[in-house]
Amino acid sequence: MGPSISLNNVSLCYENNCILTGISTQLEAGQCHVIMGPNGGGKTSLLRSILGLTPFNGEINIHWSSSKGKVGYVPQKATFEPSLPLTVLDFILLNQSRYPLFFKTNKKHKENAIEQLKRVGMADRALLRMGQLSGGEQQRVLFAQALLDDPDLLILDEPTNGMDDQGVRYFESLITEFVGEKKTIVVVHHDISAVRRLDAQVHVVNGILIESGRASEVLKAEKIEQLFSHYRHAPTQQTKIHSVNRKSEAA
Amino acid sequence: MIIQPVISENSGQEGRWIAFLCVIIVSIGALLLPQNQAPHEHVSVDSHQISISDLSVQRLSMIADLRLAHEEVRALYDDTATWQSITQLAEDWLAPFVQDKSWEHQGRHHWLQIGNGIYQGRSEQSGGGYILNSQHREVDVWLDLNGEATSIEMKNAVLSAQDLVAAGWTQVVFSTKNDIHHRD
Amino acid sequence: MDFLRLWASQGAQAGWLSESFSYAFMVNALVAALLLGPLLGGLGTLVIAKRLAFFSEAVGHAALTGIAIGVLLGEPPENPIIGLFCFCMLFALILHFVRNRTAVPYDTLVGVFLAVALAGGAALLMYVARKINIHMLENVLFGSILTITDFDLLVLALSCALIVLGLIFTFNRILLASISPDIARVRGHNTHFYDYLFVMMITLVTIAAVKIVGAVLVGALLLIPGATARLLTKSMGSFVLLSSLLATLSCLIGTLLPMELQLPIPSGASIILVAASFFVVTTIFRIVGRNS
Repeated sequence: MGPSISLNNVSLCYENNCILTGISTQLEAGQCHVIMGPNGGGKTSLLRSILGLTPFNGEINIHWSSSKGKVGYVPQKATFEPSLPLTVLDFILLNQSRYPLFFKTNKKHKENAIEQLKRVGMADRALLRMGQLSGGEQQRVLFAQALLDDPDLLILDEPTNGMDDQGVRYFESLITEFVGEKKTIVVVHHDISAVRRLDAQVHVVNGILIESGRASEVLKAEKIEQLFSHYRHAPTQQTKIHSVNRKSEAA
Repeated sequence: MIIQPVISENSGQEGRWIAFLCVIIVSIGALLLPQNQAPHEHVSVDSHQISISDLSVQRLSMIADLRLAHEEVRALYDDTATWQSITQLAEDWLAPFVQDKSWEHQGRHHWLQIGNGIYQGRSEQSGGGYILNSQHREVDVWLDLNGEATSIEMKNAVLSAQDLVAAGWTQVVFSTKNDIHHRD
Repeated sequence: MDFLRLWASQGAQAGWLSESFSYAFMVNALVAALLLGPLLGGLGTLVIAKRLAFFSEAVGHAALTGIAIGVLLGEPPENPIIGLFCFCMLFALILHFVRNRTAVPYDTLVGVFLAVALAGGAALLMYVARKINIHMLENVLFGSILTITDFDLLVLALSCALIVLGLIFTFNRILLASISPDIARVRGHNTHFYDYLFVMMITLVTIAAVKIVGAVLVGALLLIPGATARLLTKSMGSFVLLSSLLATLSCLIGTLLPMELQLPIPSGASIILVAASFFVVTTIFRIVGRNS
């Protein structure tokens, strides 16, 4: 069973600009949590804060059910230089162990790598350069990297960005599989219909936490416009945060 | 149930580590430096000689120039068996013969070729001077330490050390580490 | 080492090794080339991956100042190792620290540091050159195979062994940190540590290579074999191995050739020219291959 994550008055401020303020919520264990909201609203920052990659204030705790498990992270993108001879397989092996790439490839490592690549449908492209792949294909490989340690907590930032249909299908089947296995998933995703299909928990973030609830509740037709609006609203009764006065649009 | 607090990222540590590392490097350097000192050869010098390590910076720079000039003179002699004249040396922009700003700074020495491959320079200002003897492969430099040496007039083709000593000149002794030979 | 030199001179007399091998300094220089080559090639691949080419140039030039400081502090002119080591390390560490803490673009920052190091080095070296043989400057700038002692080889062997060991354990992590620091941090890698470790390895190798290749060109030796290998390989593993091979060949041939052909060119220049010729040939090959 995946962990639950508690956030208590989390804020993220750089110099004069606050990207997140007063975020308090509980991400239940074993569920798929989708973070939605307009661009520049702090979704990526929230994800990165959960991972400990930002200088946030406040408290974030991960409550593991038994022993401390593994975290898998799929970032929005990574820059792969086209001329660097780093193959897909190289990249996965890089993530797996210290066993240097310039030694003869370890068979077990290679098998594990190919396994994960198969799950995202990239096994046949294992020997292509990362820089030669399309954006969507690179995303798939990034996803495969996150699966290496059999994580109980999976955090994904816009994982289907630039993906083709095939990639999206692989992604959705894997997410469904994980949800079935009661892993905790936190994902920034834009595809409303996919989110409805998953019937996930939706958290709308735009500097503050605007709303949290089941997909069927939050993604009602009349609320959709609010979801992607750039102007930060006063919260509704469902949330527990007080409104904050904004001086500038955080875009 | 294990609660794992997520640690906020702050980079205060980095500065301290780097400062610490720098201190360690400088300490190691300071510790090992005495182990790697160039050997100060205590060349025993006669009364008419002076060791190069005892000379002032200004004298050292003049002598460095003379050593370069010596190599030019030897090069020409090896090829053509003639000795460069002062005019030629000045035309070739060789210090200390060419009369540029550094010539003024070094004391405005006027040079004369007093013998085959022997050049004497006397300063306008301080009355000091130098003699460059390029007759042999090894450079031979004499200087007028106190401004009291008399100028040399050559009677025979060869200049002997006694003549120089008698006239009040002091011979510069180069330390063997200082590579007075050609590199190849 | 004596055994090696004896064997080499015997071989030279017997005729199956060329005459150059009968010189002790030549054997020393070739051993140095064999120790340095693989390391320069291997680290060069990471320099290319991390886009630190300009930085490795700067460290090479900072070596000038380090040498001048060493001589100024009384070290022997042929081996001012402590001034060289301390200055270059401090230079590299401080440069990277400033880079991590300010918003100044990397190029600009390295340019400023390089200019200061070079200006300082030039001034000091000119001052210091008055006290010592002026020919030393040429060796410092462009390398000289004549001055490699057995002690130098020992230090070289130790530092190379150290770096190779370090590289074996940290290569993957350094590479990952440069591709995606976020993924690396989530995996629990201390990306700052690996960045600084890499910077120190580069500096160490540069210091070790300055004697043979010279301060002006040592940065290039980290770059050119890697750039050549990049055009020819399809995976990271072969990239590293080919780069090491090319660097070693460049060092060996560049050391041997001037002696064989009796050309009075400094070793640094010949090594770089050999490396560059590999690059040019490969590039032409690629261009022609693409067109046909």
